Amino acid sequence: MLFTQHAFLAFLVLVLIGDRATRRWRAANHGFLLLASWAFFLYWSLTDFLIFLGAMLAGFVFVAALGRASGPRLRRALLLGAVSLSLGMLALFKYRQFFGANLGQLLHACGWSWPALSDTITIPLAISFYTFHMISLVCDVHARKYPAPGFLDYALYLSFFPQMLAGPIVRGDQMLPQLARPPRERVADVAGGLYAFVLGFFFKAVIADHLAVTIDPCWTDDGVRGLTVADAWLAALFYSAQIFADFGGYSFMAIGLGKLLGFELPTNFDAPYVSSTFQEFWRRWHITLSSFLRDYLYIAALGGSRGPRWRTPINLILTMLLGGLWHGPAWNFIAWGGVHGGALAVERWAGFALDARRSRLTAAFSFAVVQLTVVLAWVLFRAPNLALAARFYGRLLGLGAGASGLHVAPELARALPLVAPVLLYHLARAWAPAEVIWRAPILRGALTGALLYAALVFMHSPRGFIYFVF
Amino acid sequence: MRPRSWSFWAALVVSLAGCHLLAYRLLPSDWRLERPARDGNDGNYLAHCAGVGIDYYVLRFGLFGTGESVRNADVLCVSNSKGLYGYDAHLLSERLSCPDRPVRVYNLSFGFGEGITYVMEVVKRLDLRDKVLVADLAIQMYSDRMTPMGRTALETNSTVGAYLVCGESWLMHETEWLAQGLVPRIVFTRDRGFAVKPYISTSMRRDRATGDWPTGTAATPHWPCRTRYNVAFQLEALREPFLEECRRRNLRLVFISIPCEDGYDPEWGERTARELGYPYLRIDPDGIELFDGAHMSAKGRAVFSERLAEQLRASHFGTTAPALLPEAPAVLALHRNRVPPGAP
Repeated sequence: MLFTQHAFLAFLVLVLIGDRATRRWRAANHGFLLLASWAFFLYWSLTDFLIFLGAMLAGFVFVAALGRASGPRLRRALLLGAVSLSLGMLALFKYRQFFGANLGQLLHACGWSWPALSDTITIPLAISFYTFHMISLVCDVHARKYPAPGFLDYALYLSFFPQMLAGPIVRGDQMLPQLARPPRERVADVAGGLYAFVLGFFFKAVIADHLAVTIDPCWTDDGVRGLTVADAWLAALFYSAQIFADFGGYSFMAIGLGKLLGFELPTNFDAPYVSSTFQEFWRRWHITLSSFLRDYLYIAALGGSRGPRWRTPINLILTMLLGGLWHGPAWNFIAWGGVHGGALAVERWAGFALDARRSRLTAAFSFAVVQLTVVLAWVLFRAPNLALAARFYGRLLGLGAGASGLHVAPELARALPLVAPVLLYHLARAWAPAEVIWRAPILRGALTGALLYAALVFMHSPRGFIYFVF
Repeated sequence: MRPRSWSFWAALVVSLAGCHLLAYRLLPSDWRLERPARDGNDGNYLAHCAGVGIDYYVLRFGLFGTGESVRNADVLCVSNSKGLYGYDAHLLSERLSCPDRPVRVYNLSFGFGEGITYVMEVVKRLDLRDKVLVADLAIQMYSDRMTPMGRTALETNSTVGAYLVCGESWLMHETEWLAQGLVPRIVFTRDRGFAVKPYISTSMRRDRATGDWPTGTAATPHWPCRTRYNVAFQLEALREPFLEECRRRNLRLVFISIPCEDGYDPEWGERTARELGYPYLRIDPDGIELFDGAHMSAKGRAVFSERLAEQLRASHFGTTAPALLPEAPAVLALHRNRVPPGAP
């Protein structure tokens, strides 16, 4: 069930009624939300739900044991067991085929034979997200940040339908205290929730889905062949707008749903295209993933910037390479992570990210470099493989027959107005902090009404979210 | 409720109203669509909506009583969208029935250019046996590949899943029906940019008892046009999943070629049917009106179905009859129908 599907809107009404009706009893309320979340998952796939259920139950064994264990050795063993379980699931379901195929090719090149792996295992829905939720929880319980939760809270934390399929990646310390409070004390922010949900709905249903219709054909062999330089640049820019509207839209909707039910979910996107450093970009783009990678991988596992000076850029690149791989088992995602990791490393090495005394000219130059790199890196992210990405870069540079023209295909030109709301959103956020809208209910109400009307006029058959395949 | 909340809701309502007024001021008058009259849904179901072939799910799982109707049918007519608009199962039933024994005909065609592979999935799922299968020998039909719609539909492998698809589509249809006439409905397409979208006109209902599809009207009539197929029937690919499966299930194949303007080749059809060892009924295309290149208008459908019924009646009682329809009960009825009055 997509958040933009009619069935979801009906489901949401039922959930809101059920939540209200059970607010007086904690177990009933949490039980109801858990069952609703499972029904939401089951709507997608029984098999994927059963895999999730198995992972969740196995994870709870470790979490519960960790909550009771006191010896440091046992606690460490349990932590390793739980993390291995999560990463093992990712390896089995998500990366097995990729690593198997690449290892096979490598061994074949060395003259050894390697049995081909069957490709019957499809990537289970949401596996990248719930495994990260489990890792975050077990690490925090091991570090005694908070006590191990009971089963109902644990299950609801992992299953909570607004965030379970594609984030935001909510930490235990953000969600569990909210679950610990009696449900009747949770204050549903209906106006705020509606605003966030409608904003996300507009971005997804009106902007992202229509941009997808326009540029999807550009990312095929035939499509790339027909692009002029201007077309290629427009397609790359449109994709930058599309992925923000798609994933940002999803995140806004998830946060809005949380507010409607009385939960605060963390911000996941904060106008990333106003960033003038790569560090700032990653503090504004998929914030919950980048903070997860920073805390659990860059700092906890790799040592962050604590070691010798040469280690920091390597750690940054490694973190971003793995962050790229997290998005999908393909070389183009790894390359995308590598580009961002490299850029972060150079920025850190030059001390540019930390320099607050930059002139306006430097800041503008930096902004241009960052945004250009981000747009160019999206080509790696969107292209189905590296070969097509290379051809697309060729088109951007005017290489290949017919590519040098500045003629813009009418199909792409027609879509220009669709980028305007993304641009306006970023301009507004560049000039005014988010609080301005939150503190001005009239402005928020007017915006909600206008966006809702636009969604009613323009919405049609919903399309899947880009991040659902990760 | 706090005063700040009241100002939010008031601003929201004013904004909605303002947008509405603005939209109706700015948009051309032909972009303001009226809400269409309610479809009658007696005896039919929503079969197509927003690009989803709901009948793919309904027929494969036999939902809404269609399973019983298909199983009870004596004659199944299959094709792609040409057959959806071409076969009049109700008329065929009437013409083929005799007073003491009705012959039930079911239109089991699918749209989207669907081929025989999906039809055979329905045949297997509903375990259909002992019937006459009137199949259109349009070359696009006979490939072992399925359309994206067919492949998507096959991903649903439970009745609950099929009901969910139907429910979702029904909700979408109802919402769109409500929205049309209330707000302008605009869609963005790659080829046309922003354009008005009469959503409801793309939804179709299908008869539960006969599988009949709504008729189309011809603003400018089109007429059938013969062509020459320069391809061979994919015998090896289709022998087991189609021909042998039909033989095992006692589904007696009768091939025809549905006339259309885009090109159909009755000679190829006749030759192919002969080579495969199945009967072929040649339908006279003269006067069969189409409303576009491929699909019959209401008039064309009536003429075509009358001619098909005549051919079926004639062939069943000719030399092919014993080979064609030995056990199917409907055939006995057809046979009886041909026996001269007074004969034993």
